[in-house]
This record gives sequence, C-alpha cells and structure tokens, in this order.
Amino acid sequence: MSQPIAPIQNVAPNQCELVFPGLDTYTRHALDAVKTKLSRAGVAKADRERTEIILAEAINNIIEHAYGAEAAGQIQVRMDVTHDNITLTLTDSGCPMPGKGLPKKQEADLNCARSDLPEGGFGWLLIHQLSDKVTYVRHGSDNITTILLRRQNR
Amino acid sequence: MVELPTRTEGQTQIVVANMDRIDASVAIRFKDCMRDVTDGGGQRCILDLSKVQFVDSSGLGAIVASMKQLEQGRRLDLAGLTPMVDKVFRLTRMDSVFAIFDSVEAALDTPG
Repeated sequence: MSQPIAPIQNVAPNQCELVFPGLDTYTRHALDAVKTKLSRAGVAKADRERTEIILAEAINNIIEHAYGAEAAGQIQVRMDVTHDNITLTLTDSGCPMPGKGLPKKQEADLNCARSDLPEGGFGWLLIHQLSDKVTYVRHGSDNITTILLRRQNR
Repeated sequence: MVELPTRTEGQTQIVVANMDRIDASVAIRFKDCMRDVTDGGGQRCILDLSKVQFVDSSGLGAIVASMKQLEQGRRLDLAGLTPMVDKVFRLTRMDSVFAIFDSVEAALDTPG
C-alpha cells in the first residue's frame, strides 16, 4: 500500500518538490501533494485541473516508457508557481526518449472501425493540448522534462 | 478495488463505475472487470461515470477497450461525465466515438 508523499520542506513558498518511486500506486499521492500546493498558492481552478492532467500523463509516461519493464527508479517532480506561470520539472533516471526528442502532438484517426480504435497514445496529446511549452533534455543518465503552463487565471 | 455494480432496466444494462478515479493504477483491472460484468448483457450498456472525478489516458484507453470487448451489435454509452472527465474526452475527441449523456436517466430517455 503506497503512502502519501511528504514534499521536501525547505523550498520557497511557491515551490514544491517531491521524490517518489516510479510506480502507479504513488501517482495519485504525488498529484494530491501538488494540488495542495496549487490551492495554497492561489492558483485558479481550471489552471489546477490542467496541471493535474498534465502531471498525471507525464508521470505515467515515465513509469511506462522511461522505466518500463525494468525495476522502477525514483521520479522527482518540482513545481514552481509564479504570477504568470506554472513550471513542472520532472526528472527520472530511466531510458532516454526514443530518437532523443519529444513525441509529437499526434491526433489519432478516430474515423475507423470500432475494432481499430486506439486504446493508447493519448498522453502526449493531452500534455501538448494543455501546456504552453514542453522541453526534454538528457543529462548524464537522467531525463529532464520541463512543462510550462501559462496561467489563464480561471 | 474495482467495483462495478450493475443493474438492468428493460433491455439496457447499467454499469456503475464505483470509484473516484480511473487511472493507470486501476485501468487493467477496470477493463477486466468490465469484460466480466458485461458478459451476456443486453444490446445496450450504459456506463455511469457520475462518481468518477478523474480519468487519465490509461483510464480512457480502458473505457475504449471495454467498448471494443463487446460483441458486434452491442453498444457502450457513457453517462454523467464530471467536468474533468468530460474535458479529457473532448480533448482527445473521444466524445465523437461515444454517445455521452448528462445522466443515466437522460440516456434511458434516448433510445439506443
């Protein structure tokens, strides 16, 4: 049974830093910790919801692809909230992104037979749709994914 | 714990997603449980999502898979999508793949 994640304490008021195992059962707790911080920082509801969706998908991608079938490592999430932006920085020590670059925002063709409907691949679409900028770098043996959301204040 | 209580109204099977999140941690169990629960059911199945506050892309995939698991000629409609869930369906354009109703009652009022 996974435990709630205690954020690292000695960070600035509008920052949040978490480290947790790259396992599905922890994702929800990571999102809860981040949502608490977003509320305390006075972030508007729709912006909080966008952040939650984006972060859930980014964490899922690390668990599924960066760590995959290998024993999961840790995931570090940092969030910085400013007047204008919310910046999420995710660090993991899993496999590099294929082709060393980000998956493109690819909309699936849903105009097909039921049996051909995709059951996956929506994660990056959601991240791209809801965020304003996404960058990825490989740093030594780490992946660093940075996602910027401009606050819409609604 | 994946709980999918089910009932029948006439020819229609209603399945209640009795969880607040359908996410990566439950997606496979959700899909498997849906397969069991819808086995032998009627032509129309309505999935009541009114208790579900959050669906991620894995949960979305499990809902799509649940529809694909039904035999030819059977349909899976969705009811009671809460705002964040509705948003995810719209962003992925899955609202063009499923018939979506405000509530189970509204779905039952509209013939399948």
